[in-house]
This record gives sequence, C-alpha cells and structure tokens, in this order.
Amino acid sequence: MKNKVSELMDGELSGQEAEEIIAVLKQEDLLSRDWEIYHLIGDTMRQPSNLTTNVAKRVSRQLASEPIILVPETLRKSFNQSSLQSHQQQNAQEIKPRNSKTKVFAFATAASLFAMLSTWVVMQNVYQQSHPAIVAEQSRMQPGVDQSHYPMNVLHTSGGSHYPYVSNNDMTNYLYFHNFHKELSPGPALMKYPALYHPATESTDKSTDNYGR
Amino acid sequence: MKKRFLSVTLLVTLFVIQAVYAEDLVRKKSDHDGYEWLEKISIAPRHHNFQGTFVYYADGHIESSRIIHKVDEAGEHERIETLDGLTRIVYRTNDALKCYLPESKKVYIEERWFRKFFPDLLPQPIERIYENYTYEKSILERVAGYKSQVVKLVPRDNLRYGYKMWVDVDSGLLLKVAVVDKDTVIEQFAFAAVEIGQEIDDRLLNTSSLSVSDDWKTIKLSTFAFGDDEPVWRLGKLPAGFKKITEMKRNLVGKSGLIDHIVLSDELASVSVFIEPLDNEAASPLPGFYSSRGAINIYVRELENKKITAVGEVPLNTIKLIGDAVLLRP
Repeated sequence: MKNKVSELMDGELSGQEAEEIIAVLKQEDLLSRDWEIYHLIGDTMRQPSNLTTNVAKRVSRQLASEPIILVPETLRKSFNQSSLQSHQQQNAQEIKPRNSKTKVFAFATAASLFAMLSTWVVMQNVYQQSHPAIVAEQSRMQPGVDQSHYPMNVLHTSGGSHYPYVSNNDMTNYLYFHNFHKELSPGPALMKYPALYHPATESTDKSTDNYGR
Repeated sequence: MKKRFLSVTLLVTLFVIQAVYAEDLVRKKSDHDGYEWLEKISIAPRHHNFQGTFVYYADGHIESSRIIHKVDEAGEHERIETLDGLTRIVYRTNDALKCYLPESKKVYIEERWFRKFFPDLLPQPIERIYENYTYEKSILERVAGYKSQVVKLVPRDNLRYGYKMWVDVDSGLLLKVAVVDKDTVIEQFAFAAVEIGQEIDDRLLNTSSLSVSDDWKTIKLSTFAFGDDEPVWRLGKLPAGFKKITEMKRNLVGKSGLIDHIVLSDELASVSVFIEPLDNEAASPLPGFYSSRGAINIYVRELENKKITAVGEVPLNTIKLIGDAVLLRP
C-alpha cells in the first residue's frame, strides 16, 4: 500500500488506481501519515538547507526502513521469492523437503530463472532511470551557485532522488584510494565542485572558485 | 546424374571448408596482430624513457600533469606533478609511491601500489584481456606529433566500458586513451607533448630537489594486506571476468579505525570496495548510486551495521553486482 502511495505521489498511477488509493488514504490515518512523510521527503530533497539535521535523520530512517522495489507488480512476488533465496536449491529443499529430486531441481531452475529475470528487470530500471537523472542533475548545475550541498551527482534507483547526506569526506577518500592518479590529475570529484575536502591535505580545496567554476 | 550430384556436393563441401579455413586464418591473423600490439603497449613503459605533459579530460573539465619516466636496471622511476590546482608531486619507484604536498608540508607513502597509471594501463601478461574484450585494429592517426596506430578493445558484454587507444608505432607507448560507453567517450588521457627514448638526468627524479624540512609530516597510507587464508569478507558471485586482486586495511585521515579495502579487476577496469562500520553519530548513508567524474560510478549499501561502498570505472549495473557480492564470512 505504501508503494501505492509513493506511486501516487510520483504520478505513476492510472486514473482508476489513483481514485482507489485516494479513497483508502481518506480512511486510513496511518497511510495519510505516510503521504505526509513522503511529501516531507520530497521537500527535504529539494531544500535541504531549510531543515534541521534531526528531521533529515528521521527522514533517513524512514527511508531506510522502506525497501525500494524496482520490479513491476506482476513480477514482485516472484522477485521477493527469489531474492530471499541466496541459494535457491538449498532453500528449495527446505521448502519442499519431501519432494522428489526432480521436483526440487525443477523448482530450483524456476527460482533461478525468476532471479535472472528479476535481476534483468532491476538492471533495466537502473539503467533507464539513472542515466537521464545524471544528465538532469548536471544540467541543473549553474555556475556561481553554492553547490557545496551537492558534492556528487547523487542518484537513487527509484527515479533519481537526491540524497545530500552521504559524507563528502568519505567519498573523496574512497576516490583517492581507488585511483590515486585520477585524484591527482586532479581527481574525479575534486575539481568538479567547489569546496571539496581534500583527503591528503586535510583541507578544503577551494581552488576552483578562482576560476568561477 | 548421380555422379554429377556427387561432384557438386564435393565442390560445395570444399568451398565451405575453404571459407571456414580462410575465416579462421583471418581471425588468427587478427588475433596475432592484436596480441603483438597489446604486448607492445604493455611492455613499452618498462623499456622506454619518456617525459612530457598529459591531460585528463572528462565531463568538460581538463587537467594537466607533467610526467618524467626513466627505466634502468632497478626498474621504473617516475615523477608526476599536477600542473593545475594544489601542487602534488608523486615519485614512484616500481610499486613504491611517495606523494609530496608542499602547501600542507606532508608526504604520503604507499609501499605497494597496484593501480595502473596512464600511460601504463595494460597488465602484464596480457592474455586475460581477451577473456573480456575483443581486439580491433583501426586507422593510423597523428597524436602529439607521433604516427600512432589506433587500436580498440571492445567489451564482450555490457559489464564494462570499451577502450580506444592511440599507440606510438615505433615505441608502443600509449599516447592517448579514450574510455567509451558504446559510442560515447566518457574520459580521456592524452599526451599534449612527449619526448620518447631520450636520456633522463637522474636529478630530475631525485626527491632531494624538494626542500623538505623537519616540519614536514610523513604519513603511511598503506597498511597491511590480508593473507589469502584470512580474508574477513567473502565475495559471492562476481560479474563475469572480475577477480579479487587484493584485500587490505586502510588508514583513513580523520578516522579512528582502519577500513577494509578490497580491489577487484577484469585486467583493465578496476573496482574498489570499501567497508567500514556505520557512524552512529552521523546520519546514516542512504543506499543508492552516485556518479563522479568520467568513468567512475559509485554504489553504496548497508550490511549488518557496515557501510559498503563500491567505486570503479565500470557501468552502473556492474558496480551494483560487485557491491552486492560482498557477504559476511560465515
């Protein structure tokens, strides 16, 4: 149901479905609270500077508690089923212990097929959704605007929401360790946005400001 | 009539055999040619001195560095200095690396550096490249004043990016490289000017030319690598072609504890996985994808109160598969 609320917010529901969910929203307090929280999340994403850290943390928790499902409704059941099974065959045996080996095998094959299919669907979503989001985020970057709140092009699989709460320092350190050379040349993240923490100098690198970038 | 049918059949069979054989020959020739070019690129930095200026270009940004590279009996000696932004000078002798930061009076030391730097990008031996990439020879072009052969490494699947390389015909030195996602160039390294094969004065590579006083601080970045028998993390199914290169502890500036760093590679593209405990004070990082400059993609997730961050020059789906492959050791 929560997903439906989220979908309603994103305008992903058809007229019929939207009407149904709005009717339910009116009746259930819990759901209408979710509706409010989702809007708060939206506002948080758009205007992080107007909110206190406490709110952000609560929103973070709320978000964290909600798994993001990228699979269409029809596949969701099978996805849940297969994603729970890290070792399909083993689980298949647990579920159907009394079945013959051929049946177990058949079930395992079906499960792995589902897993493959689900993974493929996830991948498709990741690909189709993230790339346009990157472009959108970059095109929004205006010179001269304080971008220190947006250290990276921050992306999320469910439609490219922005999460400004990941530690900038950590990310720069990681990039530094991953590829010293690029960081030095200078790095992937370093010169892109002003006022980035520099892991080696423990200072904030604002050199790009001189160039008005 | 029967005889005629037989002869036609024979002729057709012969023709098919010949076609298959010819194709095989062409393929073998191409493979052989590819092998020679790749081998030439791979060994060039171990055989030739060079010095010049190269640029890194990605997402509309351009940054330049100066490189001096010398080969002698002891191996490779290199000095790279960034010419934009804060001064950073790296001295490398084979795998040992020192990074000088004059502005902050610090020296960072890395004992065992496994990453490949431009223009030394191909592994040695090169055989495993063919498992994940196919070779294509293209045209001759002029780069930094040198006649260069264009060669392409085309990924066999969608788990990695492609590489287009411009190679100096005489020395085999990589003069320019472009990382491509299908037809889109994501990032490039290229020499603007380079001198190949000339004598290099040892003084150019001597760190004593830097006026390092007592108030400079030396920091050891590298830590210890885990032995094969004691890895803390288990890796589940990895995307095709990727293998673990090393697993180590890292000393992060501003962190009290050490963090785990796992390095994986398909011989050309590499991915780092960082694992550290979640900071309960700070807002917890939210799982998802992040993008950085050029070919780098980042994926963050949580596992048992740990933050797992995968960083690498691979497509989003690959970075996710690798990040998700990290499992707790049972």
